[in-house]
Amino acid sequence: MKIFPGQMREARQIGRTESVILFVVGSQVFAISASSIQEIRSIDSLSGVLQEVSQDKIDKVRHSLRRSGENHYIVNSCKHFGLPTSRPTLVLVLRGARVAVLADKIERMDTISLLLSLPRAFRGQERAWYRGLTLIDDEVVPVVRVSGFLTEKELSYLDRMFSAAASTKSGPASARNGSAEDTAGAVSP
Amino acid sequence: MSQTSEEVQLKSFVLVQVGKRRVALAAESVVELVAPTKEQRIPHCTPWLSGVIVRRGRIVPVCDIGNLIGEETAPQDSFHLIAESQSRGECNWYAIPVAGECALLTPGSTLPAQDHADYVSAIVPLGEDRIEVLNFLKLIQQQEVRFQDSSQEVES
Repeated sequence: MKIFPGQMREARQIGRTESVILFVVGSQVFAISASSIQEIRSIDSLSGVLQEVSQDKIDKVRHSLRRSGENHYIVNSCKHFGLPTSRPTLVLVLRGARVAVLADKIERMDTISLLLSLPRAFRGQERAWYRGLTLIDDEVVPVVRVSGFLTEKELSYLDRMFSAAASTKSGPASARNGSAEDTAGAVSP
Repeated sequence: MSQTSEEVQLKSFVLVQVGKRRVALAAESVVELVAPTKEQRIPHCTPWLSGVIVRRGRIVPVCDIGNLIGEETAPQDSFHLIAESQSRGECNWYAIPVAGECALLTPGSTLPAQDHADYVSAIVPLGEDRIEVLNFLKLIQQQEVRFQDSSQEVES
């Protein structure tokens, strides 16, 4: 029996801190880089602004939101992470990805200095979902990867579906030149 | 020469209780036995892993091998045997929930594992018992193959 194999160390980033926002979905806490959040909105403030995306291939997306002249597709994070259905109250609009994510609540902002790579034993979609894992108050918290919510292929598909629905409703309107943007009530992280 | 080192490896096993069965693992693959530790859950899609534990600053995935060999799910307050597996140049640690009783076995001989599951690499006679020596890596690889097959079925 081995006492301690010293040759194995997990890949980690030390010495550089990163601000993260801890958000809750169901009973699970996730961390996301604060710099990757464009705005945080309450769902109530978006009534009348959300546009339905008629498609049945990507179950976790039902609506979109216009931001910076582009559609941000709203991902149901319970379905994305395979968690029991919860009651989301917030929408996190992400920067650098045409995605917005539903969350139940924001726990707090925090600073991390440690990002452990997801153990290679994990072989499923979680490899795309997470940048890694961090430890906050002795709890393991997944740090989500912004690009892990929707693939480029899924975004293209959603754009096509959105365009098709828009052109059916109002003639030649395209997904990228659609309705006016809503900017009221935004909360910057 | 390599046969000699293999023989040396096969001389020591760690005997553990998994569900109602006693099985053995090559001592070479065992890092340590850890007292009951809080197992933490993260959302994931790897069916043979149940969660993670934190051990010496590392995050170690928990693999309940009892589930994989037809035993009941381990209770929450289980000890964890930390085992390492080498595959494709990767060295992975796994935490295996076990009952507290573990013993180091150095049997005089082992028997071939004929008519046993693929993941059984040898049989260790222990009194009137015949203890299966699990090839943990093979057990995991079988799960991975099944997982890849089922993923491909879903995609198609």
